[in-house]
Amino acid sequence: MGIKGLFPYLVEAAPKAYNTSELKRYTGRRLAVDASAWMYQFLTIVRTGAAAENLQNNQGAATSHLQGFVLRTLKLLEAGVHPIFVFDGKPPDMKMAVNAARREVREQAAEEHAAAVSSGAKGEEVYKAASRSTRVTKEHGEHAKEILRAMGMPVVEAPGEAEAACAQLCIEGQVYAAVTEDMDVLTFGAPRQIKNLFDVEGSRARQPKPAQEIDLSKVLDALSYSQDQFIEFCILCGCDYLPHLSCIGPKTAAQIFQREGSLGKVVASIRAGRGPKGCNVPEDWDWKSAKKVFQQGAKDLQADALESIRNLRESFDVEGLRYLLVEKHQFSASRVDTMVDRLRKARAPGGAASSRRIESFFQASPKRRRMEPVATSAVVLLDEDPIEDPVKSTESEWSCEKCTFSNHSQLVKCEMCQHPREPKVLKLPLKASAKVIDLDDD
Amino acid sequence: MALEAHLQQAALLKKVAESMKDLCKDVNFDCSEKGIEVQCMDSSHVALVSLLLRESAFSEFKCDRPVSLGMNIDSLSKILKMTGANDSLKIRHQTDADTVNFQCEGSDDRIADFDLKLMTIESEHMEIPEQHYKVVAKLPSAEFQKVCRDLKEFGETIQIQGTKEGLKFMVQGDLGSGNVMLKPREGEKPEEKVSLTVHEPVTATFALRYLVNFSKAEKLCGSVELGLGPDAPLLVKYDLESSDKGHMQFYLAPKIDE
Repeated sequence: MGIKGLFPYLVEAAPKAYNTSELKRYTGRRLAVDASAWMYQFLTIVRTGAAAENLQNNQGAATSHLQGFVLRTLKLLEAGVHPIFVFDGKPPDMKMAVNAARREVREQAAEEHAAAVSSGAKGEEVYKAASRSTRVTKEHGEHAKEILRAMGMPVVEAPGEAEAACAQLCIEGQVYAAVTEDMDVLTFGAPRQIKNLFDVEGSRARQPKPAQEIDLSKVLDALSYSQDQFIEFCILCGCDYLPHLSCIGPKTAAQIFQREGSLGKVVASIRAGRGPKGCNVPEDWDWKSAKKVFQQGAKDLQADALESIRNLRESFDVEGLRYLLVEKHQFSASRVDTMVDRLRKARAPGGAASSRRIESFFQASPKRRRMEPVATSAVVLLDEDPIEDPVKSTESEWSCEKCTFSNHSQLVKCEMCQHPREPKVLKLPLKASAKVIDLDDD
Repeated sequence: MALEAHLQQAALLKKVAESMKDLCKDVNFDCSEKGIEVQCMDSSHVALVSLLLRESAFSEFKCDRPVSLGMNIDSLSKILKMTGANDSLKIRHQTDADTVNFQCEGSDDRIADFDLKLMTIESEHMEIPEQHYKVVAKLPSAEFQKVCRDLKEFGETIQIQGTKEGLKFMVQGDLGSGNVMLKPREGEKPEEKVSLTVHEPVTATFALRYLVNFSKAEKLCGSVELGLGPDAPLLVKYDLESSDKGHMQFYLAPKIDE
């Protein structure tokens, strides 16, 4: 999902447009979370047993994502962050082709998974096939929304894609930034994107990686594009709505785009044989409609949807939450008690969720650059803040061997899948750089 | 030479660095003819530190044109650790140089010299409007530190209430709830007095761990000033030994009140 290869390209072409970041920098801020993407993440990675199935309730419905939502929501609240959860609505017609292709991959993976399980294949193989066969249903979404509402979290149903609605909330100043791995949130015009906030990338690469905050205005500055040009550039790189052009990555895209000045001219030039070798544009490659989808975004986000998020101090319903988790989805009662305690504590008067920022009282004057560059990096934020923080730092956490969930340092079993903690942390060097490339797309 | 500053007692800067290093990592020291100023926020942007080291704090101070020196506080602390209790300190920076030089000299003719590499730090500058606090309290800084340290054993959140009766620090936690009340009192020395000006009673809630951090600046001055207002950041202010040398101010955003 997203724009093919955009982030690695920005790392090179617009190094000033992003900063490493971390959860606690968003204390007292509202963030729009692309909940549909999270749902997919949870269902993909949190799997257990020999057949690598999702956690389930007694009706056979998956509950991996519910656990994920509860635990991450608690982490957000304990850091004093106010999330707004945005779910996908009806996908744009243009996404049908991509969705159909994805369905095919899933079905094939489901077959492989079944074959692997019946042939008694090894864990990793089964897990991979199972992950790829993950399907997110309407029921998954409804269950997640129920739980979030019981926790008193604002839930927004996007008119179309969740990324577009996240972008719109950010454009309207309802939230500080959009939390998603999908780079097309920038194409939809979100002024700020936060990716890898919960270090899923790091768990995959088996070494911690920082979150990144990307500033759209600086991206546009660095690439010297207007937003419309940026949209055209993203479409050329490869988006969700059109088949990707062969032989074109962001670098080539930037070059041709630079030379021709607009996507219309680029397409004409490639068709006339002046593009990279072996590249051609399908007859029905309707970039104009894709551009409209990006330009339109979620401008029609309903006013009442916005209204529903204005009142952030919605009450939470402890009994309702307990009923849903324990009775409906068969979570262990003692674990739910711990979750409820954490929720109560964070949302108690004076608790973490009531934190505010200095900026709510004092005005910041525009950023001043004080000196000519001396050091290589402009802002260094990676190191731990010396203040003891209620949110456990990522270093003290360990990620589960099996499902990659990052667990509290003191747990000996994975909170998600109950897999026992590995005695040693495996470090696989050199894997990271190769991995980064495909992360935006999966 | 863009900047040349002589400090009679290196210890002053050492204490300043010590009291900042729990809150900030990389900061810009903004030097001008007025002296040296620092403003920075903690990583969560809940607290703000504002330092003014007036030129009058130095035995000699020359700054031809304003310059910002970006330093890591931990590195600065390491350098200042080399200084003895009565050493003097010279801070020097050449125009456009990428280092700042520290030279400390003890009475025993030992001279330690260190060039610290400067960093480029992008930072926001907050405009702090003049605050009219409804409650202003002055108390011994050691006492403030003790209250914060004692109460942090019981909870993470502190409520501070200023009334005509006195200044009350309240905390609630798993063990129960407790409070410490300080009543105005006279004393022979200023650092033994508790004084209180209340235009209007105020109660506000804060994250206690920040106050514990602020209160470590106790070494800077015998007394500390607290400023409270309804829906305003708390001010915790220490003079640098005396007010004519400058001050260290901490601001802390209050929690949302129900």
